[in-house]
Amino acid sequence: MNFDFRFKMIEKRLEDINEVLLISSGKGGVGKSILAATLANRISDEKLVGLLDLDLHGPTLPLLLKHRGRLKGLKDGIDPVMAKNIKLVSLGLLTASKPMPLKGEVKRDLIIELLSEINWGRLDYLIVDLPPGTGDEALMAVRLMAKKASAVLVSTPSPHSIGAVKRMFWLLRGEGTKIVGLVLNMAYIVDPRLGVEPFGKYDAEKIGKEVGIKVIAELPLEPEIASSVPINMEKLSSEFRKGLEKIYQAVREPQQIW
Amino acid sequence: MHEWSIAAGIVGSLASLQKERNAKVRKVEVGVGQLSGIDVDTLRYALCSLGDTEGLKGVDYSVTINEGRFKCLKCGHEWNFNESREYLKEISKETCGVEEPDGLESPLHFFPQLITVFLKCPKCGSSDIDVIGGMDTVIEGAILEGR
Repeated sequence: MNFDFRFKMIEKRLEDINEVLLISSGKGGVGKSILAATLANRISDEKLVGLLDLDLHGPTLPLLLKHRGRLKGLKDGIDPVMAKNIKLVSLGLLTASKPMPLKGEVKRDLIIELLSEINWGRLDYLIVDLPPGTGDEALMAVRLMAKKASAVLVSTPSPHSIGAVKRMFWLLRGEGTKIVGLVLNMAYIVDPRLGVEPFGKYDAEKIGKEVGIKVIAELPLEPEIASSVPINMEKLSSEFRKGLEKIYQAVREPQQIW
Repeated sequence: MHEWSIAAGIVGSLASLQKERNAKVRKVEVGVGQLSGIDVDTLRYALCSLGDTEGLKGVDYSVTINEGRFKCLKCGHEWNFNESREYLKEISKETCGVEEPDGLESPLHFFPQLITVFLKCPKCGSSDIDVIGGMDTVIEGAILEGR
């Protein structure tokens, strides 16, 4: 027999969550965690937001949000920590800075355990920072939350990154996950003296056509984020904040969902 | 403490199973992974208490511990959880404990999958370890009786 009772627990946990927003790319180093953290900050101004860090090998959200608290174990599961008004869960809170040599099947199992154990309570949005790549853990996370999930894809304008995001696009399509749109991150540098596009000149419309999905925002490479922890929303450039607004708008009122 | 949320998950699944099969659960075998340090008596008590309110009154719960066993993929050494128990207790609580009402609990209690973050091969020191037993808590079997 040997059936997994945790799937029932996950179903129950998801009942109180209105929407799961997967921040995904298919490639590391494109700024998923920063987008997840800043978007969570923005949306939490007016909604109940949870933030789940599923980057199992390199969890960074506790660092980005400068949180060193401990998760709380209670009778009905584990309570997230509060990072300002965001409910946060990350394995970084359980493993400090230790290396995480986790293997395929164990990672799948860990994702199931995390989703079954965390007691989020009622949420408008659960924002999930998916692990890079299209491996076991990304696939498992997408599948377990499929009923409530939509995805925001993130990429730099680099052709290497676009190639990876296309793979993620097809994986999500295969799982039947709704896709809100593509965000081009680190697309340009906000400095009129420089006028630099660090990954070369790009054409957002052309990239959108290549991936098969609309580009909903182009975000600048943000020196403030790179140099300060925790992220200070007040100090973000107006271009970055406008980009976040566009993403939030697309999440609230998707024009076209794949 | 974690025993109660596990019990709630098991009981919820059994209640659904009863409904789906239109049958009554009589006996359930639960295998507890030793790595989690789940207390068997507390789990059994929680199963009975929660089961009573979910239409599972009178179910016979058999709860056994599955031994934690490891194999080092670098040097091939095999060993069991008891040999590393004290070492793990200290290390995993120190910086990474989960706060419970009566003190700090090891993260392995909730997430035994994290064992390789904290464990090294006692022979060669490698972290390249396979868990070959005692990881998960699972329903291993159930006997149902038609209504």
